[in-house]
Amino acid sequence: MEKEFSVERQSALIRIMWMAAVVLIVVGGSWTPCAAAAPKGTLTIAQGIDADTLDPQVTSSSAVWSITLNIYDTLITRDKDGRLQPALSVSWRSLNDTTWEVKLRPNVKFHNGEPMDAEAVKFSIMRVLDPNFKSVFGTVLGTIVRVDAVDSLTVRVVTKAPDPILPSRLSMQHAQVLPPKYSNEAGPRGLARKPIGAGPYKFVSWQKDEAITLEAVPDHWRKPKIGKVIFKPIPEGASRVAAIKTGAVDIAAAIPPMDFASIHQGDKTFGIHTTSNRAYLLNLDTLTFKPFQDRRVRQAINYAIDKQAIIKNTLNGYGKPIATSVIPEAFGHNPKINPYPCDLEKAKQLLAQAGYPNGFEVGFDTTSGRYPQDKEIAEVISGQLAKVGIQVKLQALEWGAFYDGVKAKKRAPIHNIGMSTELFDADNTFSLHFKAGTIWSRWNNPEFDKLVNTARTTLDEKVRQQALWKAGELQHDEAPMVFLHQISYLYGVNKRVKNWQPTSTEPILVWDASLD
Amino acid sequence: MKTFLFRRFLQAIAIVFGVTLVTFFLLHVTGDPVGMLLPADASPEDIERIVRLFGFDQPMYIQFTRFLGGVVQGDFGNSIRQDEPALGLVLERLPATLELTLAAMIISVLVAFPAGIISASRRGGPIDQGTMLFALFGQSVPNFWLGIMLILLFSVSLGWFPPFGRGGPENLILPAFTLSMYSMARTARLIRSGMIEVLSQDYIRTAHAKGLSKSAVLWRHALRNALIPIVTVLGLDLAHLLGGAIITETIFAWPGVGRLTISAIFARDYPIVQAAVFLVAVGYTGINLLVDVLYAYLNPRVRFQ
Repeated sequence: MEKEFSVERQSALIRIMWMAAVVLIVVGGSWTPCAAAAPKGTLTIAQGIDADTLDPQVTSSSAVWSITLNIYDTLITRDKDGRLQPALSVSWRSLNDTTWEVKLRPNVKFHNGEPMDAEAVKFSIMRVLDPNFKSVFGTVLGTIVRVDAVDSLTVRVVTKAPDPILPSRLSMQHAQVLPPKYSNEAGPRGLARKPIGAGPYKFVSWQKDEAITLEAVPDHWRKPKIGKVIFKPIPEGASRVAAIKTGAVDIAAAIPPMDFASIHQGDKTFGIHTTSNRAYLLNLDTLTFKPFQDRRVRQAINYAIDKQAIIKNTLNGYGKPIATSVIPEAFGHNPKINPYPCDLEKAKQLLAQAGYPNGFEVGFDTTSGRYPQDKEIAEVISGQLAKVGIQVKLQALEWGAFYDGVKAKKRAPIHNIGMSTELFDADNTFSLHFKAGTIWSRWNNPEFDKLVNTARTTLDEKVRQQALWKAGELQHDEAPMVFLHQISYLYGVNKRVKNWQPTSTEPILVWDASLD
Repeated sequence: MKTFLFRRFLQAIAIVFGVTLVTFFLLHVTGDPVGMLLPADASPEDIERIVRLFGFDQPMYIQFTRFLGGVVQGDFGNSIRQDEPALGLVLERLPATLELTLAAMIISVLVAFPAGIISASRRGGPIDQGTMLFALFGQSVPNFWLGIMLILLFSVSLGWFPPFGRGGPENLILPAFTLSMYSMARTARLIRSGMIEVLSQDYIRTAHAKGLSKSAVLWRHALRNALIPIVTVLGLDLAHLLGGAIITETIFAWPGVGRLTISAIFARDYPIVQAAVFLVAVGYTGINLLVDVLYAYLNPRVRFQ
């Protein structure tokens, strides 16, 4: 009796066991934690210019970097609050005054299968520093003496002198990592036409002046959600506006300010604006133009200009007044300094004290079309300065001629200047535009230079901040330039695009975005 | 006739050569392109290094000789921004510009001819006045404004056509129409006045007297004679349009030669400007030569000179 029962029971139990096992296997096999859906859909982006090359190290065009950053990725990236975040690296630290150690992300491959490792990073950085190579980052990365590949995932960067800003120098467009084997095989020309990187999107095709197509890399660590991305160049602003309104493109960059509102109120579209890392100022010749040698005159001009009116009337309200050349998002920004208010009485007072009660005549060179509303802003400023007796002779120039004149020191006593703080450090603008003797600088203040040098040569953040804050105060009080506003970037976006945020450095990064 | 054409051919070569020379000097005198390539934070040493790598520090006569040597072999140098042969890059864009230009010419002729002929034959009437008003508008309106207005109306508001880019026939309509406007308007007026002048000639009265129908007089006698100066003008128009539908190409993001040239000028990309100017000069003189031949064919009086 027992035997019979147990055999039957055993068979039943065995049968149940097998059924359960089958069920578990089937269910367990199809269940994956956080199953990522395959990237799908096509995103079309309109920028103002086409790429001239896809070699990220030979061009300073941010339109090109929009494309290459999605293809190559970079060692370090910046989040929307301007803070450095790991990308192809996972961590970095300084070992001593002149050595920084960077640890790389494991298991990352280039689109052709080459490993993204220390050798690749070393190759990429040294390519920039090669004196026989026409790289545009020679100056930015020029503080680096050599790069050592310690092991396959560890890189040590050695600098000439203490370089507190090195991590910033290894962020964004400056440190895109190239595959050594492919780069040597294809040569610079091959690389420029057919890029191969380690980023979330790989290059598919390039029809010159028409479209550059990228495709998502499956199972990439950045988890791109959109399957295909197409960049189309549309040079004319009004045409970009038409393109976003008709739905021909999903994201349009550089929207003219006066069209932003209608895009934002459209039923298929909305507008996004972000403050950029670019400050807009007027450069005053304090070295050779007599009235500008007096600090009171320079301050008077700062008081005479109504920044809010400029932002409201020429930029449709998109822009923020600045107090110094340092943007709020940069390290070393002194929050205690306020922008010069508009005070015509004070301006006239200062001018009279300086010996110009009836003002004076001065030339003003402006670019045309290089910065948002540059010519229009110059015209408004000319009108504002006339109210305190300063007669402005305005001249508009195309960029090539303008820049040549700057280099030859032949520009008028006032000229406009856009400064980018792409390293997000006050040293950026201080060193390039205000220290005595640079191409752009028309000021000579030894105390300022000393403070800047102090901040450059120590890794101690507290010391740096103190020096940079003091330098900012000095810059504000001495007013060698007129501080206008922080430029905003305006984008038109189709409502079916989700989770896309513009960067404050201009390139358009798409791996976080998805489509409805 | 043969000597006449041979002489014109030699002239054409001299013109193309002269244009290339003048362009070279104009470009190099206005500054070097390195400043455009590098970011604003480039140090003077970095700029020097790149100038040397490109050879821009060489004296002008050495640069010019190297350039000339290349041109003779069809090599205009490499684009400074793209590092590829400049002539190749320009030729790549040529089909797009040709497509746009030819479409514009066709539209222009298809509209201008009937408009001009009808206006001339119904001189003073409402059709004539309406057409001439439209022609005046067409010749005065800036290309730039017309293109954007057409995009706003037909693309954004009505959604009939795509707002930009090259593709199928629907992409061609708006830019070709924009480009054709000036030529269309001017040609309509020229045809009208040409026809009016011819229609008042004696031989037309003779033709009527002979008993020929009105349309036969119009098409067989009047038009053929009025055509002669018109052909010359149309030829020049075609050459002119080829030279740079720059504004139209920019507004419609059309990937043509004009757009490439203007961006090369702003970026001081000399080899491309050089190659584009050369191509335009060849096109212009070539078309002029063809027009001369056509003219000789149409006007027998010239043939027997």
